[in-house]
Amino acid sequence: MEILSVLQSIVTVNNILYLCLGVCGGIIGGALPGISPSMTIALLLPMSLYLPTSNAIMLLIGAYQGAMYGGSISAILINTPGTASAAATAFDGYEMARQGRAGKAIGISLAASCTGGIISCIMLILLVKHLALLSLKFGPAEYFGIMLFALTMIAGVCGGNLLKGLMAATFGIMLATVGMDPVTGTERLTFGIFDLYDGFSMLSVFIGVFALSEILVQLRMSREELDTKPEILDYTRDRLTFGEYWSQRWNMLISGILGCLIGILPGVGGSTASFVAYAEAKRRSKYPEKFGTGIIDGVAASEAANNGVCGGALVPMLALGIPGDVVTAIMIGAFVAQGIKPGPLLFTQNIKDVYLIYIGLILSVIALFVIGIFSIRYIVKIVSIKKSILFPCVFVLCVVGTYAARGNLFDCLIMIMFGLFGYFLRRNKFQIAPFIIAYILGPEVELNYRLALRISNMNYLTFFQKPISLFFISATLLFIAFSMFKEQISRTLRFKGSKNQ
Amino acid sequence: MALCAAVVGLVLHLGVLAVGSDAGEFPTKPIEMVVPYAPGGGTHIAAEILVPGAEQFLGQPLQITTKPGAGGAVGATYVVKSKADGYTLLYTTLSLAIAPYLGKVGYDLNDFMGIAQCSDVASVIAVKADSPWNNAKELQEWIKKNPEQFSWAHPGVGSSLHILGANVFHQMGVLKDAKDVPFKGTAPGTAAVLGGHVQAISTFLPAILENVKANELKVIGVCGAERLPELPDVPTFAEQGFPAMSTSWRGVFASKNIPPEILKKLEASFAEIIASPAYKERSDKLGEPLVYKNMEDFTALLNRDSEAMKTLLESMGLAQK
Repeated sequence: MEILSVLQSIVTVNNILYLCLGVCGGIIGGALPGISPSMTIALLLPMSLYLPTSNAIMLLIGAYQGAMYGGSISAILINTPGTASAAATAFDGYEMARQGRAGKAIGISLAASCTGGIISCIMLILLVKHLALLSLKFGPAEYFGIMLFALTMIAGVCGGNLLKGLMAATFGIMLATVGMDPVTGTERLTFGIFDLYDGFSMLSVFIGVFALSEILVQLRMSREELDTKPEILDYTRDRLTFGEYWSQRWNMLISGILGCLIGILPGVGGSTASFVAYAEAKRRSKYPEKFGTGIIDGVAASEAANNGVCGGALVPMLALGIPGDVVTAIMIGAFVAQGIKPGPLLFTQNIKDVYLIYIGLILSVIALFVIGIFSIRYIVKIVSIKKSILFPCVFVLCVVGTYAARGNLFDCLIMIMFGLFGYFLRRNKFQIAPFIIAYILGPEVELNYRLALRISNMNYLTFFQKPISLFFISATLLFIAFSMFKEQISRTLRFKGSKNQ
Repeated sequence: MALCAAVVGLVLHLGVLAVGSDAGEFPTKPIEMVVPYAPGGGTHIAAEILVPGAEQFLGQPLQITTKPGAGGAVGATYVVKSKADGYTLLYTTLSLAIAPYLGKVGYDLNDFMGIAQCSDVASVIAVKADSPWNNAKELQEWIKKNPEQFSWAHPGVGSSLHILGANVFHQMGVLKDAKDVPFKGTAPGTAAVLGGHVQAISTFLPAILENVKANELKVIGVCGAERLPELPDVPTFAEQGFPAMSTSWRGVFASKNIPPEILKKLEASFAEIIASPAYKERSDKLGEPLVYKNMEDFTALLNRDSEAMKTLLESMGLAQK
């Protein structure tokens, strides 16, 4: 069988070596706040150009999977997600770490990442052509629908105070408008500052609002607290049990599928997927109020989804030659430089290259699992570093990473500014999550709304005339209605309950 | 306290050591080449293929740094503001000539001297393969008969593909009726055309070559003076009666204030790198047509295109200066 012979030629010591190298590099790059998955791949790109093709592919795919998992490490241990796609992991993951269950948190993160990765691999391999056709059905109107739906669903993570959550989200959308108008090219709120022409650098905002604000919050602790070595549970007691893993099987399956489906849309990536999966898991759950207090469900959903994106983003890349997200955009460049031409003809003319990528993807999940398992006990030791030493290191990483993104010191200034802003939000009991989600999704909603109107000659009905867009807008309205209904029911029940006492 | 003083003293001494010696011929230390676009993008990768030859012909490694932003203006400004000693170069595209007319940028075109042109990429207008138009004339007639129903994609306001595409419709006389739809990059635009959400896309051939070969997209015309070798049957717009001649080139630039001997050395070295067979091989793999111009010709091209862009942008109503 052809596949067997291809397998034989691919599974070589050299390839496995580069795969593991890629996974390690990806985990480190993903874990370091300041280095995003796309930057990790971009850093590995020049190296890959000198390698033979199969080694290069193994390296890059391994790094992709590793980075999507790696972000959860810093999210869980120090509440400073290494990547935007791990932000939702921090909600429950960090709580678990604070309760001394860091090992379990990282364990479920690893398990969910691998599970989500495998699910999206399977979907990719079996359904690539169908998924590609599905992704083409999404034009600006449809993107508007799905983004609006995602934005609304994520209102579920506003926590208790809806008003404050909405205010935070409004701040997010406002700040996201800074920069060049995407349709007309005029400058918005740049105040003539040249470096703001493209808006605030996404990384600066993210690192500032999550990482730096967390450091500032921690600074309020006394000197003694910062200097004590935290206790961590013995590793043998703080592990993920198989039972716990198995209890999450539906959660991971659904989140992985969601991640893959979101990944197939060019331009939407890990952060959207993980937030949507988290919100959906919370909505589905029998104990939604426990989300955010440190349950494994939250971590499992977020991590399964963001690794699910890996397989999904490869769908348009392989089938259409269109990158599914920032990382695959860079990977296309690397593949082209190697002489692989992603696109519809790849399947008919160069099926061997396709198999190489598929097998690379599957092996990367296995490599991730193996490397992850061995490294958990060492990773968890990070929690035992004195905070007075850990946080300055994190701060340096934040500054360096932010600078490295565009080579611009201005970005570091912005990061510090957003750090202070994030600190202000936290101190006044605003939630960071709605802010960052609105910041990421708001511009997408706006752009697609305006493009859809432009294409349809300002026909506002276009959103209702296109079936997919209509579907998502209806789903949004239904979701809002349902949530209000649920709120009303529970309020009535509570009222009745208090009356009976 | 003593420890503090010792550390400070050590750091200051390190600073003294860091001042490189300028003795010896240029170059004596690695040269930085700034790519003013996102890492991993087409321009970045095209710049990377110069690196292996640099060690050999220039004598020092070439370090690529990416400084994206403002359609290429951020990186260009950085190079102009750097010390004019030949150790900071710019690798960029036609956008260098476009950006100044779209808004305030931190540089003036006269600050730059072209060192070497590396490639010349002609843009194309592509439509879905089953569209009813087979050439530019049919497209023009359809747009005239159905104004406000035609939309075409490009990767962003002010990008070279936006301007080059608009030029085509301007030559056809239907600029007002053909709605330009700015997506975030070529990828979503290509997906939109394939999905039938927009009718056409202005892009470079390498990005959609596979789709064309698979008969998903077809090319209406080529913007430039010559047909593309990959599509010998597709006429240029000029051949079809619409002289849209501007193309997007890529090349190396440096500050005009660099001493002439260093400029000459850079010109000669890059000429050798680009002429080498190893470079040609890498360039072919990338799908970039290798077109070389030396310092004099390239700088002249820059000035010519600058004038052409100015006229074009003014007639399109996009110029802000």
